[in-house]
Amino acid sequence: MGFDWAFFIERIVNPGAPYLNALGRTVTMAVLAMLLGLLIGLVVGFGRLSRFAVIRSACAFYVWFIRGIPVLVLLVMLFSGMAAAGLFRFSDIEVFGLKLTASFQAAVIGLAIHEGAYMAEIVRNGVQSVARGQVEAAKSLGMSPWQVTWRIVIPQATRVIVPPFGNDFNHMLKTTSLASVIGVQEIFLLTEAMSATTFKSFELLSVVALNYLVLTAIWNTIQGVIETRLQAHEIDRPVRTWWQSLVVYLTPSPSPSAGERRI
Amino acid sequence: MSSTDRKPLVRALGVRKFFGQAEVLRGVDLEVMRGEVLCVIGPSGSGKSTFLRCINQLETYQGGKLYVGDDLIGYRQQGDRLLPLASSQVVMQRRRIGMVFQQFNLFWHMTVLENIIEAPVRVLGQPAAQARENAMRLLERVGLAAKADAYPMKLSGGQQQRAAIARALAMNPELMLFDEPTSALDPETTGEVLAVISELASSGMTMIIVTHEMGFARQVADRVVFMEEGQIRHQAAPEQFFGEQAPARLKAFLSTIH
Repeated sequence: MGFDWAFFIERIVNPGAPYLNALGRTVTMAVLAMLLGLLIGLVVGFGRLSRFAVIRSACAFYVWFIRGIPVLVLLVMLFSGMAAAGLFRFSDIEVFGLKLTASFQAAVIGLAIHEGAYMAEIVRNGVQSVARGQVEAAKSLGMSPWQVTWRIVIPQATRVIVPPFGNDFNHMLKTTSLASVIGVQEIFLLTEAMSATTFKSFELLSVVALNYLVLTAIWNTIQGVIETRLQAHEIDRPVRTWWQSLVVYLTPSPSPSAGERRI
Repeated sequence: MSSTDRKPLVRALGVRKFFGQAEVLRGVDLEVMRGEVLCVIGPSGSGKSTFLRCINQLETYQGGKLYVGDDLIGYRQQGDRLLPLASSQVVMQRRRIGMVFQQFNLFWHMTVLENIIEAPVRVLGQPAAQARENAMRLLERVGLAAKADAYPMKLSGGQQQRAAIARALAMNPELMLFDEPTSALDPETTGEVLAVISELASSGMTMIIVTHEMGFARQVADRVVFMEEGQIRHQAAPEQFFGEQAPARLKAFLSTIH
């Protein structure tokens, strides 16, 4: 037996349309779920800091409840459980000429609900990290509560939110594989299907593992560029554009170290 | 400078403030004339910063009345009751009052120039070009024109405080509040900030300055106020205030500072 290198390389060089489609589905699912999760996280995270006790408790309940449910259980519950109980059944829809299958919708929503609970904590921590003096200065300049939030609190909280957000997105890229259980045709489900017909499970799983690694590596770079841009205030080189951020990220200035010197 | 216009801009009538059970302002009565420069001194915990923060509503007061111009700060009168203002009205009242903080509080995610034009553009709706031009004039005035595009973290404390003063002035306030503006600075940079405040004082701006710099207070103030235990205990022109006729308690306090 042994590892079939030729097959492995062939799968990488020439993945074929079905696999590329599945890859697209994996990425789309992760991005949509993350964006929706961020939205939920913003609402629930700010909600946890509300001056109204009812809102605070409702948001705290959401975080407590959702974080206690395994994603896998949540996905199956949404897709099959609710349909079985006759509560709600997802059905295929078309958006801008793009067919969104029932399972894909359920997966995005389930992943987003899950992510939202974690994002809420990240957002809350970010908002609480903003120094009181910054808010007071903004108020003293006559800025409205809305302006203080959008111009001062959110931009400053973003610096604190982005690293754990990136961490979560890295996680999300791989967690999408759980959607295979409810039948979303993403890369893991396709790999499983191909394994069943070719019996080259190890090669195929290596390909898919490598694939996730590439995805997270790409995201790692994107996150680095975003973080560089957000650290403009403490970097000596100008970082005013995305291009400059990329250059600074890829060519970090060496930190000064003790070298040989004359006395 | 003593103004000939004897109309008070700030009027405090028995202002009282509680933090929980503790009464930190126990009936403050004070008038500040237009164009007057008032320095407030006193031991820490005497309520001087709290009083300043009540004027632009970073704190609320629970007793008495506080006027800036014709505005009753924080409340509206309905019959014989005072009702708290809606936040939109609080925001309006704050626009005419500039504040400078002990910790500068420049927005660290914005350059110096962006810090200064933020409120004029967002709050007053000034066109960006005009706001930028005005900001550069103000930076010129505080000696920071070269630092317009620098981020606050790259500036010294004194430079940050001068930028913060420029930011407050950009709103064209009729009253400036300084909350221990040099307490976080080293002696060298303290001088450059005090110079900017002195220049501002001589331009006729109405100012209330909470400070521990007695030499500065003596030189720049039209009147000095001594606060202790939430009350104004003594007030006088600088010559009398720091002179031999000052009350014993004040002399004792002053001797702890020098």
